[in-house]
Amino acid sequence: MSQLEDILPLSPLQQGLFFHAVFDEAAPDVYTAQLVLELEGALDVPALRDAACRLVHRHANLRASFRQRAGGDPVQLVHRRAEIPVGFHQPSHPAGRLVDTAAGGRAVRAVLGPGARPRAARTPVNPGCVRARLDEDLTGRLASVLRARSLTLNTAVQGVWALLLAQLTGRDDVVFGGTVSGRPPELPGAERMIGLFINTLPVRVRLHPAETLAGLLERLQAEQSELFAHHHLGLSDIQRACGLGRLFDTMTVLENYPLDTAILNGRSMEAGVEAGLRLAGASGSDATHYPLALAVVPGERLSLRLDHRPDVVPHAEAVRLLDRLVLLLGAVAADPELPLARLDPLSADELVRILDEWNGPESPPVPGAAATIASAFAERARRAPDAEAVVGDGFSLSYAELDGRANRLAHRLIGLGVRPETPVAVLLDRSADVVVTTLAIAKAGGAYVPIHHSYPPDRMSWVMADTGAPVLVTDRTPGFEHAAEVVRVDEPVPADPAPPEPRVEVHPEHLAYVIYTSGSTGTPKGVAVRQCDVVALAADRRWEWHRRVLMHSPHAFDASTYEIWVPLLRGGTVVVAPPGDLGPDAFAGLVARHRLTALFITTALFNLVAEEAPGTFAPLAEVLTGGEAASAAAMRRVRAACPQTLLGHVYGPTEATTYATYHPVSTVSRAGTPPIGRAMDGMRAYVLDGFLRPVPPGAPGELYLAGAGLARGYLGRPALTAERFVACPYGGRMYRTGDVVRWSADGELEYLARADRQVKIRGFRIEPAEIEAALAGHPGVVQVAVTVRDRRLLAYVVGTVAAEELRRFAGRTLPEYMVPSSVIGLDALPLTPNGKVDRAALPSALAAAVGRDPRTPEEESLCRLFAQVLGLERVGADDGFFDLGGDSIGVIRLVSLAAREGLVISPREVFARQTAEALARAQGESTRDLGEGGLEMLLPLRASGSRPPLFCVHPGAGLGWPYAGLLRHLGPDQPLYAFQARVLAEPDYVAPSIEAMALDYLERLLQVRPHGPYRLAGWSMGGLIAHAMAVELRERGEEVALLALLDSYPGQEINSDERDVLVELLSAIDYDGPGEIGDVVEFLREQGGPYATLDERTLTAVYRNYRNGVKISEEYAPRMFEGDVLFVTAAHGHEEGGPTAADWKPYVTGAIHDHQVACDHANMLSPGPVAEIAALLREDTE
Amino acid sequence: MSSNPFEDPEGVYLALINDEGQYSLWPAWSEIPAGWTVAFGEDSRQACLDHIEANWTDMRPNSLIRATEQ
Repeated sequence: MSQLEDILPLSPLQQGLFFHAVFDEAAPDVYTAQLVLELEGALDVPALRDAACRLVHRHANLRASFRQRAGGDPVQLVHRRAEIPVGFHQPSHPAGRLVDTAAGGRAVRAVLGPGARPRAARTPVNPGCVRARLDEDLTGRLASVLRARSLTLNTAVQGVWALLLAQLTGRDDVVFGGTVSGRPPELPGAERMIGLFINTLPVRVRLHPAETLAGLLERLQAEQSELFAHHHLGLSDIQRACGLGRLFDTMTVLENYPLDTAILNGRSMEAGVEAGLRLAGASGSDATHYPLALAVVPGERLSLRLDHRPDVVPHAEAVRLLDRLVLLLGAVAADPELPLARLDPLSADELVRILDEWNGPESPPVPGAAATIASAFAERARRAPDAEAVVGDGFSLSYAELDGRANRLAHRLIGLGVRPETPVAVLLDRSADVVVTTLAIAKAGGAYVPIHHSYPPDRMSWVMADTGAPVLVTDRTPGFEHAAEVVRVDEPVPADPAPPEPRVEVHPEHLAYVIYTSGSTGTPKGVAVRQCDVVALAADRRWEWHRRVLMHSPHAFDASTYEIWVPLLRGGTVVVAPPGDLGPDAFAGLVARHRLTALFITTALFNLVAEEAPGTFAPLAEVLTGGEAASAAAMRRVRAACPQTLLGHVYGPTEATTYATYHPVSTVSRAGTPPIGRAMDGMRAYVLDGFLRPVPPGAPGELYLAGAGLARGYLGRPALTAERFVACPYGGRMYRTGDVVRWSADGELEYLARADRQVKIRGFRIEPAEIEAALAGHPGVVQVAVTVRDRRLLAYVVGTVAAEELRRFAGRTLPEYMVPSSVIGLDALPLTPNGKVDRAALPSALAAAVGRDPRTPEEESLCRLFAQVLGLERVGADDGFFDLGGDSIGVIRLVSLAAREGLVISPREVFARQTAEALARAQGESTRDLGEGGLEMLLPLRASGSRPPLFCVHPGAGLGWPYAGLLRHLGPDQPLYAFQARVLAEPDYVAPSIEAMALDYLERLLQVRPHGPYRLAGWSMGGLIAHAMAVELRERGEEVALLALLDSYPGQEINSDERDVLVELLSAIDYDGPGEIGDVVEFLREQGGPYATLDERTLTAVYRNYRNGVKISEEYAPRMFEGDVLFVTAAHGHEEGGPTAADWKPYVTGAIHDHQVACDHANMLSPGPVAEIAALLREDTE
Repeated sequence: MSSNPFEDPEGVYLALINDEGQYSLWPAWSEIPAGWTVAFGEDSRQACLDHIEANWTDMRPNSLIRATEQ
């Protein structure tokens, strides 16, 4: 007779346990459930053994062991006989101890050989465990509340668990595991069968704030009983059925085993136990692989046991959670009709800590809280009239002088009708006039409205109209439409004595300024900030050492509030940086020259300085940074390099007056990003959940700000104001920031994410919805969605408009930083099941190009090659190569690949024709202008277009191809030519000097364009040639409208990175050697001859031009150019004491406008930086 | 993250007003904070915002209006 009685498949729970047992043999077996009964008295061992044997004989499942079949399926083997050892040794045979066999993972393992190992994400560990017991009174009241509503205890346990989870996760829709008995009533004898039938199933609970506790429990019970018929399903079946992966990671179980609690409680010993034997105690040990599992044991006093994985939920946290569970059960017992939104799940202690202790004093000592800007300044001017108020390179104003100049302008403004709250627009380059003007407007009671100089004219006009500003203070001819009176501050100041302080009744509640930010409804919104908000910011105790503060942020951004008013209203000095963007090296000079004590710097610039010159801030008392997600590494570098300098991490929306929270960065040892800290003086921070209740530390919630510094609202936008500045449960109003944060355990706010779609790019706050609204204004756009990928704005468009046309259209109304860098046409936008745009399903930019399908074999080949070179899934026949991101290296690859397929195209044709359609057509043309293989002296990158052409001069390598990257960003209207070294076409030519090259190119230039105005640009050595060309043109009486120098310096050795350019070009054909010419030629010889476009001859020429360029650049003595220079500094890799834009000063009569672009010298024309440079060139052209 | 209680397009809302004449959108299920009273609603979110847009014509707080018009 066989030893086996039966071979059976595994039940769902057995499958799960089997999986965990096989998963890691070496791990402690956490499913070894033991119930230890302590028996006192004389034990009849044979009787106990007999009883045990009968039990095992009667129940087949206690004789089961587990094995894996050859095919991998696990089965359970039911043995005919199993011996139960009773005594003091360890069991060694299948059934194991007197326990529920299926739970005996150890027994499972005993019969397993090595086999296929399932993989799992988690390693079970022995859990920690905390316990609590309700008192009899509460247990009784809870039971009667539940009984009165026919609710089960299990429902109550699951309901409060759902509430706790919602609070932990910040969600109002939660799923967890609930344990069911698995004994279907229709199965005869199911209740009396011995064995483990329980199953763990997902319980989903959606919470509605208006629903009552009882309502929630009743609904939950009804939903669960509908699912009762499916309780036998295994978890894996459910996961398969609903197509989801991991469903939950916490669970609850109600342990209502039919124990005689009276016996366990030791009350009636004689009832069921043999005389002389006393049950002295029982203790269980169970385990879980879930981070949190709640077990509830009913009884006269309800017992709760919270098992937790200590690696996920530490002991102290588990204790707090269990405390909250008890509170929640108490709430059910006390008032089941309480709506969920009114339920306060935090303990009183926790509330006090979060609302009060972590918020600082509610009414902190704000000196001069009733003051206005003018009165606070007047006090400073009275106390120390000779103190330095404003200083910069070459000028200095005392408090008395500043006061006098501001009074004079204030009287003029009042004369023009400026009264309290009158908006006054300000468009000024950075200078002392910014300080004089803002102070004058504050004295007149008006609200200054700073306009950013990079706004397109339409946007400037829109801001003027939106505010209705009757006066514009500026230092230039405005250049945009407006109806305001213009006050020019660049006119000479009259010599008569300054008038006294104007007598205007200004109230602290009057507006001080209006700053515009991107608006999700499609139009910008003006944040209206009061005088008292500014005074409160300046009064913060944190600014004690901010005596000499650098003013360098654009006036139209609210960092300027700190930069102007913190020093001025505290008796300190505003240090005015020179106009233009400051690069990392500019800061060191300013810090030293002006003995700065503090400055604010945006995250992006801070990171750049931290990377290149972290010691820059060392002389400062404090450096503030913020605006975007901080880099812990950058902060560490600065802390290490500037140990004596405080580092303040600041956070705040414009609506809360610049800074709302502050974190003193001392050590940055902790993982993750540094916190944003606690609320500033007088301000309060609340982290609330979806029911507007405070969340516990660690749980995500939305940040709300209240108290001093809260702006009045959005100018002229009452509804928008009422939905963002809302009633505060703790008094007054609060601003909802849309930022998702959490409290750390020690009361510091940590930034997590945005709750809405707002993004920050290069520090600018952007609402994609505003861009969508602007694009939707184009008649060719049917539908549009804007997203951010890799810090780039992408627009997805359904409609008939060309990509470049749409970008140009957007550029007319949106600032440059809001113009999408790519426009991707789609047949339709993907939608979610409820009909919203499914942003996650939008194709990545690199997968979408939607021109028409190819129609001829040539088109088909070319489309395929385009896609291969550009890394796209497909390219249409009429998609432009450069519109899809093609660059000069791509041109080389394309031409090479095409040649292998027998298609002869030249680089020049790629530049000229751009689409597969046009290139395929050229194949059939009998007379073709192949140019000189793209090596001609003047390479037309785009010959058509209505604008004045831009001429770019080659860098040291001699090729002009890299300028092709400008094409897509300059737009189809902009003709673009590149000068290339003569040596490319005439290998024996040696250019004698830079000036000779310039004259050579001028001759060709005049053939294309006999007269100016001319627009010239040059990268690296090309800048020297462009400068020489510009000098020559001016001397001939021609106008030079633009001279753009891209990281080009006179009298310097050519950066040896030039060689990298060569290597980069060569890498397109899989060359990765050192770039020495012999090596390159050898490589090409080995490769054979498919590289028609980049042959040995060309490479030799490139190399020779580079060598000769080094020599003649060093010899070049520039002459004086009459005009301005647009300079672009490659900000990376700049060394202290290295060349700067200022090196051109002796050779330029006009201004040098220096712009910093975050890139290396060698990759200036790579996709990212080239877009920024194109924007600068375009701006200057308009 | 659960949706923000002020952003539920299907939700029922109130328009609250305080002593300063300032308005606030407010979810109807939530307790009305001290210092605020119902000016409009319950109604849809848009109806409440429309009411506010139409009625909050001077956004200066009442205390400022009183102080400057004496």
